Amino acid sequence: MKKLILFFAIVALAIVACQDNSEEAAPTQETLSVDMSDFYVYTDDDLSSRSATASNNDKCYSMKVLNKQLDENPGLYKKMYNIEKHTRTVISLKGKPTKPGGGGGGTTPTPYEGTINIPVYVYVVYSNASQNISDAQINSQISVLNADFNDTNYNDVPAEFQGVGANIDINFTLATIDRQANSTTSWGTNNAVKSAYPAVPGHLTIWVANIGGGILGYAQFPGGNASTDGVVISPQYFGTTGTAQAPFDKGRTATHEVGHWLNLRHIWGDGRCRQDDFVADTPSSDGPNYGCPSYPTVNCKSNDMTMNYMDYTDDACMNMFTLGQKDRMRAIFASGGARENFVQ
Amino acid sequence: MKTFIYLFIALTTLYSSCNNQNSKNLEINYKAQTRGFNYEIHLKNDTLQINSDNITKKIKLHKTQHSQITNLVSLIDFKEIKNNISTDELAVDRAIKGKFKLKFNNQVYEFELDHHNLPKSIQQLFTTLEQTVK
Repeated sequence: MKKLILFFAIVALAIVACQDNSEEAAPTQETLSVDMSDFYVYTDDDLSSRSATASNNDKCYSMKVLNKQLDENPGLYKKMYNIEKHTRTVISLKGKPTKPGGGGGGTTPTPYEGTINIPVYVYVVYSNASQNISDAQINSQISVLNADFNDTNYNDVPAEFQGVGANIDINFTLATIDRQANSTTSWGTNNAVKSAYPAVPGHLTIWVANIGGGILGYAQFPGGNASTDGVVISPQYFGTTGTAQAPFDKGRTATHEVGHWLNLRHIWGDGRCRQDDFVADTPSSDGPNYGCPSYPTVNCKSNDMTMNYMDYTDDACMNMFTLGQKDRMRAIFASGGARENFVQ
Repeated sequence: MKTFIYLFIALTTLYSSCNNQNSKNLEINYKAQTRGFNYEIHLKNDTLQINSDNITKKIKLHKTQHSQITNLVSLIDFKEIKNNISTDELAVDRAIKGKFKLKFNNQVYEFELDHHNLPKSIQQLFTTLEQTVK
């Protein structure tokens, strides 16, 4: 009889464990002042041990793989967890009076106020003349980044979203253009181009190199390997002039990837309705939007913010970050933040 | 002789009927999409259509073509195939998710796959379909 009860207990536990919609492995060893219960981690440095998406019929498989990955690299998990916890702590402190030296045992992060300046190091890695894009094309991309991260006019978005449009107040300055001839015609997404030409500390490193395989660009979240820290973008989707190709010729691929580099998730949270992007003022959605959707586009019982830079719409049809996204991005520049070194 | 002819007609009818049944039994739908990329395969009722970056190729399959595809599908061990797309890579735009759905002999198989890292048997099936539609 005892064996039977034990058996049912194990089965019940397994069912409960597999029913959760999220992929988090929330730590229980510490009491938190911020809610981290929905935290899930993305990693970027172990391509051989892949986690699978949580499809309906395979959630347990997904969790097992993800947990295996995290077991193999607990340091990475802790790093990602700490960045998220730090971000949420900074956001939770917003608007509260600060007491010098007080709170959190001296570890309370101090948000960075004012304009953030980020020097940009651009590698142009080319195998033919058209990939060796002009200075003008590079400058056009820097202009787009500055415009998008300093937008103060949100009259061009639907009325329901105008109130949450944000000026991120981050400036990008072109520091160096480093041109490298290389016979590789397509670099893929396995960081090969970064291995050949490592990231430059203290900069946002952008590799303009042909990725191939239908990928326009890819990024790395804060907390990853320093030598691969930055974004990679194919030359035909970089900037607004020269070889830039419609409908991705308004420089928004870089804006989107830099959003990831500044800790933003995709606006649909890379999951279904319940999977969040950790931003309160973006509507929940269950997948990306493409092309130039008409308004309103309804998913998960609300209107999608299809014009957000973290969706997958065409360049000309995206034009906003939200206040919540601003908080997330700027939080990593607060004291103790993953990109604090840029404001020190 | 008459018996032989009747037997031949009966077998031919049965074969033809089975073939029709097979063509109705097999349905393939696959869609891989990310920003700036779209790839689709649809096979239903002897019609095969492949869309790749806004170029659509569509054909009506011959019996032999359909048999070849059906045979290939029947050799796939679907129990061996697992979802292999990484959320980690999707989150930073490093991978393309392919949604695969196949109906065959009253069974439905669905997977979420890494478009650039397809299981061997699925890749082989897609290669055959692409060659068929050329």
